[in-house]
Amino acid sequence: MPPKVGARQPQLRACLVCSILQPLKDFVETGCPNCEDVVEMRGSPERVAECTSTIYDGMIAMMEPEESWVARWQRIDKKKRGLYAVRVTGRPPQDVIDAIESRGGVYRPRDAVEEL
Amino acid sequence: MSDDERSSSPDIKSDDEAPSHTAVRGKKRPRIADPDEEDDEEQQDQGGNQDDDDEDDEDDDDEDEDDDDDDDDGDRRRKRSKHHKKKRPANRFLDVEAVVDDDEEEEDEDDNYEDVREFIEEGAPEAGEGEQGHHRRLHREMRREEEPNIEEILAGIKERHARQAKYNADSDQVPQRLLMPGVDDPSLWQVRVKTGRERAITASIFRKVFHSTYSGNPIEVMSVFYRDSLPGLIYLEARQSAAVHAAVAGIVGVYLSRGVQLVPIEEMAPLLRIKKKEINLTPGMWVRLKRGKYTGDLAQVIDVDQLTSGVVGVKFIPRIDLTPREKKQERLANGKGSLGGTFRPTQRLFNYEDVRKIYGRGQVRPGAQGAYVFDGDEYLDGFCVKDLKINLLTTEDVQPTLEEVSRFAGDDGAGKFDLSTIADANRHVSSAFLTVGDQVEVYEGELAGMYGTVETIASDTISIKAIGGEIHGQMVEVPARSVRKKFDIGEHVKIITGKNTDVSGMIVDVKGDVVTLMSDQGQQEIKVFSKDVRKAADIAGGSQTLGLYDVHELVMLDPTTAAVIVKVEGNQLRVLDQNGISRVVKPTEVTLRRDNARYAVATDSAGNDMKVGDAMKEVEGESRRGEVINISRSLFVWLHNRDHGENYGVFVARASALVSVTPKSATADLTKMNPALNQQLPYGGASLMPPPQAAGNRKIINTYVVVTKGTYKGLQGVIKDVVGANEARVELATNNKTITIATASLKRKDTKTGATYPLDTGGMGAGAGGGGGYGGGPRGGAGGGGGYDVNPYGNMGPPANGGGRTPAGGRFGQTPNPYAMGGYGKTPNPYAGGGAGGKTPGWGANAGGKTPGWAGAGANAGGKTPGWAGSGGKTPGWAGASGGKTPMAGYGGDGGRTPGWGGARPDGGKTPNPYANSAPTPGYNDPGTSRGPMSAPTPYGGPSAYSAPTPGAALSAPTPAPAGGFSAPTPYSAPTPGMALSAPTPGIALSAPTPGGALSAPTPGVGPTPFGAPTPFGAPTPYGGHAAASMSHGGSQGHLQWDWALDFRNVIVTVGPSQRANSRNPRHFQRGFYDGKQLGIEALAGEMVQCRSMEDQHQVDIPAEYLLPVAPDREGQVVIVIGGEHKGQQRTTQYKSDNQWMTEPEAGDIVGAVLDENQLARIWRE
Repeated sequence: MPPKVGARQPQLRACLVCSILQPLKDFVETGCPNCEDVVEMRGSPERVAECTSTIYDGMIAMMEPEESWVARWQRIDKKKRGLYAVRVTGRPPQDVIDAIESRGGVYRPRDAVEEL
Repeated sequence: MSDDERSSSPDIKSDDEAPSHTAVRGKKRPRIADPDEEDDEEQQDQGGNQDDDDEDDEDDDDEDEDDDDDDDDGDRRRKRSKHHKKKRPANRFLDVEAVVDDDEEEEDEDDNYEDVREFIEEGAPEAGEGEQGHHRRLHREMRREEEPNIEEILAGIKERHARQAKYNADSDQVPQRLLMPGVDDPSLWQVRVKTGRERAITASIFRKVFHSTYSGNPIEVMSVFYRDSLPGLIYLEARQSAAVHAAVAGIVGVYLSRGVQLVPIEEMAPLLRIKKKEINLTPGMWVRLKRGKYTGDLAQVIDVDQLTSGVVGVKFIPRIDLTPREKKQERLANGKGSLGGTFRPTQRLFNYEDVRKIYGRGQVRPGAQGAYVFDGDEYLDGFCVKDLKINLLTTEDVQPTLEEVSRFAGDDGAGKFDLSTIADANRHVSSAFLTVGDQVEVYEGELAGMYGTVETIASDTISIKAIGGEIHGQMVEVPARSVRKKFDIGEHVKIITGKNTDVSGMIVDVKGDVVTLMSDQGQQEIKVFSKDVRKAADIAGGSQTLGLYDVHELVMLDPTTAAVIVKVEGNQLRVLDQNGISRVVKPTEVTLRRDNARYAVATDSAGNDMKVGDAMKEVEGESRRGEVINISRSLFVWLHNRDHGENYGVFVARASALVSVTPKSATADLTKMNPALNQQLPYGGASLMPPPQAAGNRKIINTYVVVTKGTYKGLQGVIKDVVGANEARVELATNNKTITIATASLKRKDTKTGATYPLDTGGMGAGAGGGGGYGGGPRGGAGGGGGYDVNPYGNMGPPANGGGRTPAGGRFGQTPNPYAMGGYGKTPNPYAGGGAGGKTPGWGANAGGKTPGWAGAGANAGGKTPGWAGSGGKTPGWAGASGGKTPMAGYGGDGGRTPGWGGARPDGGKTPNPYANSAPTPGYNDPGTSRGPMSAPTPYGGPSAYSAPTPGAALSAPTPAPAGGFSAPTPYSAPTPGMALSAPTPGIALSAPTPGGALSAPTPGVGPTPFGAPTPFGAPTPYGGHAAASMSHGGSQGHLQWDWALDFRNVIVTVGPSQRANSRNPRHFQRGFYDGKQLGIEALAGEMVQCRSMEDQHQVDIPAEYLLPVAPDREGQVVIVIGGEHKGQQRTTQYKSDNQWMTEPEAGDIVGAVLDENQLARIWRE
C-alpha cells in the first residue's frame, strides 16, 4: 500500500540511489524496496540516515514503471511501484557507489541534472 | 545459502563494508548531546555484547533457514556487532532511554528488529517493555502477512524467491538524452490543483489508482508527479485524457474545471529537469544562524554527514550569559530575565573557568577531546558545536566579513585563516559580480580549465565565448558559479566591493580565487577575491570623502603641523603638510580637524587679507597661481590649481609670499591684521607680518583708479605697484594691460558710487591710505552697519567716535597681553578683560554705535565705508575733524586704530612684538612714523605719542588729558603701560552720553566667543578676534557675558557649562548635576548667585558663570532684557518670530521693541 502523505504522517525520506520515498521506519524495517542489496540499510537507522535524504524535490507517484516514460526518464522503470522523488539531494556512502558499479551499474546522482 | 552468498558476493559484504562504515563513522566528530546519554550507551553496550553472544548461537540456526531475511539478517548482525563493539556515537534516531531487553533475543524476529525497536520507541514511547514487545510481534506478523501479498502481486513469485530488492542496473547505462520521450510514450497531462496540496493530491491519486488496479476497471494512469517549483500543478502520465479524468475525479483540491492540458512532448523532459535552487552545504562553508539568541551570528559548517537528514553540524561563537548569579537574580527580579527579555549575551569564546565560576562545577562537564558540555551544548575550543536543522540556517547571502571570520580563526592565530573559505561562502553569488566582457575561467564541471569572455549573463548561467582550445570562438553556456574571473599578473585592476572599494592596483599574484594586488595608493599588498575586482585602466580616483574627512580639509598632524587633505585613498588620507611635504596618513593619525575655512584669513604680501576662495599667486619662486583652499594660522596657505600635477594640484605657500591675482582694493581687515590676534603663532606675531616695506606710498597699491590725464585718460584700473615716488603701475581693467603712469594722473575711483577722489601719494597720504585700510577693515569685515562705515574721525561725535574705536581696545583686552590686563585690569582673564572693557563706557559707546544718532552722525560725516576705507585723500579731513573738534576724540581714534595700523602697515613689522615691549602699541608707533601730519591737529595724544618714543611718554601723554578732562581716574591709576591702550577708552566712555549704550555695553563684551575658545592656540585667533569684533561692532547678537547674572535678580536661569573662558572652575557645575534645571535667582553673594530650584525650592549657590538665562517660551511672559540697548528694561512678550520676540509697547514706545530671544530672561516671581 502506498504510504499516506500528509502533515501528520512521518516525514518521508528518499533513497539516494533510487529516490524512492518511504518513512524512515519503513527503510529501517524493510530496507529499500529497489536497491537494498547495495544500500543495505535494513535494520540500521544509521545506515538509513546515510543512504537516504530528507532533502528532495518533487514527488512522483509511480504506478506503471514499465510503461511510464517518466519512470524511464527517472531511471526507475525497472524499479517498483511507489512514491519517488524527482530529485534527491545528497550522496550515498562510497561503498554504495562501489556496490552499484560492481553490479555493472552507474551511479547517477539524484541531485544533478544530466547533460543532454 | 546465506554463508555462500556472503562469500560469493564480496562486493559490499562484511570485509569491504566494514572499513567503509568505520571510515564513515570515524569521520564524525564525537557528539555528546547529553551527558546522561553516555551512561545509556554503556548500558546499550552491555546489551549489545550480550546480543553478540546470542547472535553467535543464532548464526548457527540461521544456517538452516531459507528465509529471504536471513541473509540480510546476517549482514546486519555483523554490522550491528561492529556497532556495538565500537562505542557508538550518539545517534539521533536512538531513543536514549531505550534499554534492550535481553529476554527477547531468542527469537529471530525480534532479533531482526531489535534496532528498529529502539527507533520505534522514539516515535511512540510506550509503557512497558514486555507489553510492547508483544504488540510489536503481533504487528510484525500482520505485516508479514500483508506484505508478501503486495509483493507477490507486484513482482511475482519469481521475485519473491530471488533476493529481495536486487539492484537493477539495467537503466543506468543509457544516457539521458536517449530517454527523451517518443511518440509511443504516454502523454503528460497537466492538472491544476490547490496550491500547497500538490503532494497530498498526488498521493491520493496514487492510492486511488492503486486500488483501481485490482478492480474490474483499472485507471490507466502510469504515474503522477508534481514539482516543488511548479506550485498548483500536478502532472499525470496517461495515454488518454479519460484516464486522467477518472483518476482525479472526486479528489478534493483538484480544479478539474480548469481543464486538463496535454503537455507538448518537447516540454516533458524539462518538467523533470527543473532543478530547485539548492543548498550546497560543504564543511568550512559559512552560514548564519536564524533563530534564538544567535540570530544573525556567523557559523561555520563543520560536518555535513547528516545532511541527508536535514541536519548539519556547525560551530559558532557562543553567547553565554556570564552575568554573576546575584546580578542575574536581580535582573530576573526586574522582569528582565534572560528568558524572553531582550538581553543578549555578547559573543565570547567558551571559557571553562568563567562558566564554572558562574554556573558551578556541576553544570559544566568535560567531554571528549577537550570539549565541554554545558547546558546541553558541546563546546570545543571555545566554540559551540551543534547540530542544527538546515532550516535554522541562512545559507544564502551570508557574506561573512573579514572581522567575523578572523574571530573564528581566533586561537590559531590571526591572519592564518584562509580567504578561500570565505570565497567558498561567497562563490554562489558570483554571477552578480560578472560583467559582460569579463575574462573568466571555468574551474569546475566538464569545461573546467576553459577560458572565455563573458557574452551574456542570465541569473544562473552565463554564456561565454571560449578562447583557445578545441572550441575556440564558440559560445558555451556554463553555470555562473562555475566560473571565476581570470586575471593575469600585471593587470591593472580596481576593487569594486568590500572595504577596499575603489582601490586600484596592479596584480602581483593570482592564486585561484584570491588575487593579490599592489595598490596604487597605499603601496601595500591587498588580497581580494577575484570576483571583487574589475579591470580598470585608470588609477582609482579614490572617493572624495572618508568618514569625516573631505578633500581639501585642514587636519592637524600634530599640534604644530597642519596639513590639507589632497586625496582620500581607500581608508587613507594623502595630505600636504604646511612644509610642503606630502604624506599618507590614516584618519586615526590625524589629531584634529579644524573646520575653519570660513574664518581663516591671512595677510598677503601686499598687506591685503586673503580668504579661502581667493585667487592668489606667488610673488616669488614659481609664481604659481591658485585658489586658496585653506589657511592655517594666517601663515600657511594651501592653494589649489588644477593645472599642477603635483599633489593633485594642491600646493602650500606662506601667506607673505602671495599676492592677490585679482584687483583688490585696500580693504584690509583690521581684525586679521591685528598682530595681537596673530600672536597665536608660537614664534610671535611679528613673524607673521609682512616683510618691511620700503617707505612710500605703497598703500595705494590695489587702489582702484581712473586715469585722468594722458593717452589712457578715462581708463580704469588697479594700481599694482608703485614706481619711484610719483609713478604707479596700473593694470587696466579694459585690456588687462599694465601701464606705468604718474600718480598725479590718477584718481581714486569708488567702485560703488563711481565718484572720484584725489589719490594720495606719499607722506601724509600714505598714512591716510593706511587709515583707510583700517577704517574699511574692521568695519566692513565686522559686517557692521552704516554706523561703522562712517568715518568716525570725520564725524564730530567724539563719544561715538571713541566708541567706534573702542572695539579695538576691546580686542586688545582679549589678547593675553599686559595691556589688556593693565588697561582693564579688573579681571585677570583676557576675555573677561574684554568683557570688562566692554562694560566701560567705552564699550557702551561702541555698542552705542547702534544708536541711530551715532549712525546718523557717521553717515553724515564720513560717508560710506569705501569712501573712508579707500580714501587716503580723505584723511586730512579726518585728521582735521578729529583734531579740530575734540582732541579726545582724536586721541581715542589713534588708540583705537592702533592695532589696525600695526597689522596693516608694513611698518608695524618693525616691532617684532608690539606687546612684548612695553612701549606703546604698534599703533602708536605706526601713526607716529607714518601719520605725522595727523598728529598735528591732535594736540594731546597725537604729538605725545609720536614724539615720545618711550612707552612711558606715550602713555603718560594721553593719560592726563582724558583723565583730567573726564574724571575717569581708574584706568590711569594703573601704572602699567597697558594704560596706554585703555587710556582712550575712558575718555570715550565718558564721552558716550547715551545710557542705552552703556547698558548695551556688556553685550559685545562677552569675550569667549564660540570661535575663540576651541582653537588650539587658546589665544584669540583671527576668527575669534574677528568674531568678537563683529560682535562688538554689530552689537546686535551679543553673546552674554559670563557674569550677566550678577546684574539681575529674580530671573529664571538654567545651569549649563561655564560661560567663562579660562575659568578655573570645572566646566560643569557639580559635574552637571544641575545642568538643565531651572532656578530662580534670589540674591547675589559675590560671584556666587543664590538660586532657588524651581522644582523643589531648595537653595543652592552657583557661580554666575554657569548660569544661562531662560528665554521666554510663550506670549505674555514678563521678561527682563539682559543685553542690548534695552538692557534692564522689563518687557512683556507678545509675539515670536524666529528667535526674536516682539514685546508689548511700553510707555514712550511707539511700537514694542523687537528683541533677540537670547537677550531676554524670564522673570521669576512676577
